[in-house]
Amino acid sequence: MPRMIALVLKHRVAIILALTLTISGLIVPGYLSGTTLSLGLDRAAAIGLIATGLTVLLIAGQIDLSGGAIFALAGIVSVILQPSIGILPAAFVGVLVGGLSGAINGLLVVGLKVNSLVLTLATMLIFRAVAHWITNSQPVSGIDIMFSLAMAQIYLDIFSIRSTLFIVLIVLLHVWLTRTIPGRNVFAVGSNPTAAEESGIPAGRIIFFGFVFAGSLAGVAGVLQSLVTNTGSPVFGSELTVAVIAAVVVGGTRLEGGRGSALGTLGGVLIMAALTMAMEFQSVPAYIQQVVSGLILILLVVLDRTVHTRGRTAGAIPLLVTKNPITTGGKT
Amino acid sequence: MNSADYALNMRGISKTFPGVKALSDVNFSVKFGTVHAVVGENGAGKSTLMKVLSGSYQPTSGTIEVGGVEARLRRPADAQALGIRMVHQELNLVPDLTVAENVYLGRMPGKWGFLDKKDMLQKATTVLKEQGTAIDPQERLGNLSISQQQLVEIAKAYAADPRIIVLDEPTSSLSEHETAALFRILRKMRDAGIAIVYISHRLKEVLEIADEVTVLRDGSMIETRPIAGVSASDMIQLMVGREVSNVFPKSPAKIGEPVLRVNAISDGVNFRDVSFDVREGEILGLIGLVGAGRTEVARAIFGLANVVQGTLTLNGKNVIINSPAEAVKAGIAYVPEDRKGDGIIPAMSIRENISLPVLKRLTTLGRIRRNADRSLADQYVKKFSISPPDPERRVNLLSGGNQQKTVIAKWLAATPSVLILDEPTRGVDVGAKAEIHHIIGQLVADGMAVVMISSELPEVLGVCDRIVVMRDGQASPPIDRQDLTEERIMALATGEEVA
Repeated sequence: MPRMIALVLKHRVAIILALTLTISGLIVPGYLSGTTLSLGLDRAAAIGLIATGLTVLLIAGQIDLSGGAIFALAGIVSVILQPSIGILPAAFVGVLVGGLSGAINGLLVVGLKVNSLVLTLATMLIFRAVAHWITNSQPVSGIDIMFSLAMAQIYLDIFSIRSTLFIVLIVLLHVWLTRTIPGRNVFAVGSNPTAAEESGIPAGRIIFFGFVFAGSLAGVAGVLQSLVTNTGSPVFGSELTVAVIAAVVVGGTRLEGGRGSALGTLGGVLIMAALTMAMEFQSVPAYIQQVVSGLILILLVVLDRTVHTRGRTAGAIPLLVTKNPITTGGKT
Repeated sequence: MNSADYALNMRGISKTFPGVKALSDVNFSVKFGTVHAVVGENGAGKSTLMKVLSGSYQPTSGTIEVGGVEARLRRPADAQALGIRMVHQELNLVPDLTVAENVYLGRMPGKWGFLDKKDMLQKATTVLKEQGTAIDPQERLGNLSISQQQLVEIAKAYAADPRIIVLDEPTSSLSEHETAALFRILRKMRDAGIAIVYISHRLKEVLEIADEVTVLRDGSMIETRPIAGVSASDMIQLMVGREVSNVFPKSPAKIGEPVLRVNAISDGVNFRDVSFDVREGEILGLIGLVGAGRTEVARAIFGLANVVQGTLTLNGKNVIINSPAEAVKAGIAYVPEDRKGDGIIPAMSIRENISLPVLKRLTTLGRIRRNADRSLADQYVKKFSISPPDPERRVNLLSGGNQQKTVIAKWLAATPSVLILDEPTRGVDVGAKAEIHHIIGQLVADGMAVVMISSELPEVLGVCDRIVVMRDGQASPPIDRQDLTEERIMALATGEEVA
């Protein structure tokens, strides 16, 4: 019996996802059709791409709140550059802006030894302000609506370009995190930075590239959003950050670092998307949707704690990373 | 013997921190293929010396030769590149990785960045087997017991093929059986030519395993001797080796009835069967080496940790204390060791800190009575001569000694009958120390019962009326000051003598 429970707890993300899909399928007519799933998957992709980047950062014991702002900024850049350099080069520059924003975050966090929660809160405001500044707070339109329609194309009845990209990236990230030496080092840095550093692992470099990766993916997500909608807007993605953090945490990645998985994040993103879709189909008001998402988050975090705190004192685990482990030498 | 036989040669090492000279002109040499023990009191400079060796600290002056070649150790990686490995007392492992991943942390085998799990597992299994431990290399490290983790830490150092291994109190969490196994491993490593630096306060173990011993005292090297012909009492003599000066004012207070009686309490982990009583007007010293369980006992009495067995009697009545709030209500106050972390609210003023536990008393209809608040603060600032004498000064701007006086004042405002002080004079200068001793003397003169935890032998012998010596979670009965010497306390604390 305890083994059963342990097994259920271990696969809790997959089980809750299956439950969500089954129950929604029973209640909502036409839920389990290709159209619904492809739509849900496509919408999950934006959150999913940012969540993929954030997964690495959270495992490394850091956090990035500026993802939503980078999302908007990269999208705007990719749209306003279209007339002068063409759609694809502009898209490329948009992603580059995302990577650069991530590099700024990383440089400041590692170089100044600042708590990443505070620092990315600040850069979130700055990136968002820059987005408003260069657009005069107005949405900007792209040059070719046909390209947008092509981007939104659904293949094999299920996959859009961005949902495919999300799934491919999350699988690659899974392999990287579990099978490569740098991947394992990310866990070491998040779990005990002092031990990692003293064992010769370049913690600062790992954290820096974590931010670059997260920024680039937020950039990719933002550029794709702008290409699909043929619009760049300074208010895009303003509610994304919270949804992204929720999805990653639902997927079993720990806010304090050292534990998490890419496949878990995939599960978390899909759970949130499946729930939202089901409730929208049933015309559940948006605020109730948020309440349900919140409750699921609480449920999974409590389950997560049950799995991992056996034989440890629950009180010893802080709710949020309150001190930068780099500056405190791992003692939080 | 020429210099190439020396794995390590440290010459004239000094290390100064702002305000403190932690090491002064220490010479320390270790030969290949020997176990070299380093002993000394708490704060004698053992850890600082090892941090210099591991590259964590830069010495203020002095030279280091490793294998006969002068080396500059700017960071831990430099020391590791020269084959110096540390086994820390506070474990330096990653709880969320597997045992095998921890053994090869920073040096995992693989190709093109891809981890060769099979190879790593095989190597880790071999190393663990060579050590004679039955730890599953695929287990998550955080699931192991502390003693198993200790063995993993040693395996990690050994797997790196080192020239010098430094072990800091490696047996503090090991059972007798595990210690014997560790010694087998150490002898094997020694016979393979590795130089082993063994830091311990367990003199019996030092006598058993070491080939040479170096004694440190107050940041200076006192002597290095071959272990043959050295006895435990010789070592204690060298470790203590000073006259007990009379700088500490003895408390002339009249001693009355027992206020707090602790009856055979255990927490199931850190201490067991601890019994003592503290009387009105008495200062009871609680002394022991780091990790002996002193702080844990204090925390348990104050309701910060669970007591699984035993009882507390306060003023003749049995009391059960489950939380600090209950302890304060019952009349117990605890001034913790970590002043910055637990004792003060740094961003608040002296006044706000002092009145914090008694705000309710100073409040009318939910409003704090400013005058009462102010006069309370004024009273203690004057009584304890807190300097500068400005109750509105932010506490984090005060010196360590004045912060400590503020913390004590804060608890006195709650008028406790028992005051527990954990290392009240750690990190304060000599003048402030004397003032704090004077304050404690005043308190007991007014009839309070004080329990004082301290690592400083002269302090305890100077200030306390009776002394309880703790070792490995067990406590001696309270012993009168007149019956104790520094040597005797050290002997009790290290287990050379049973009380």
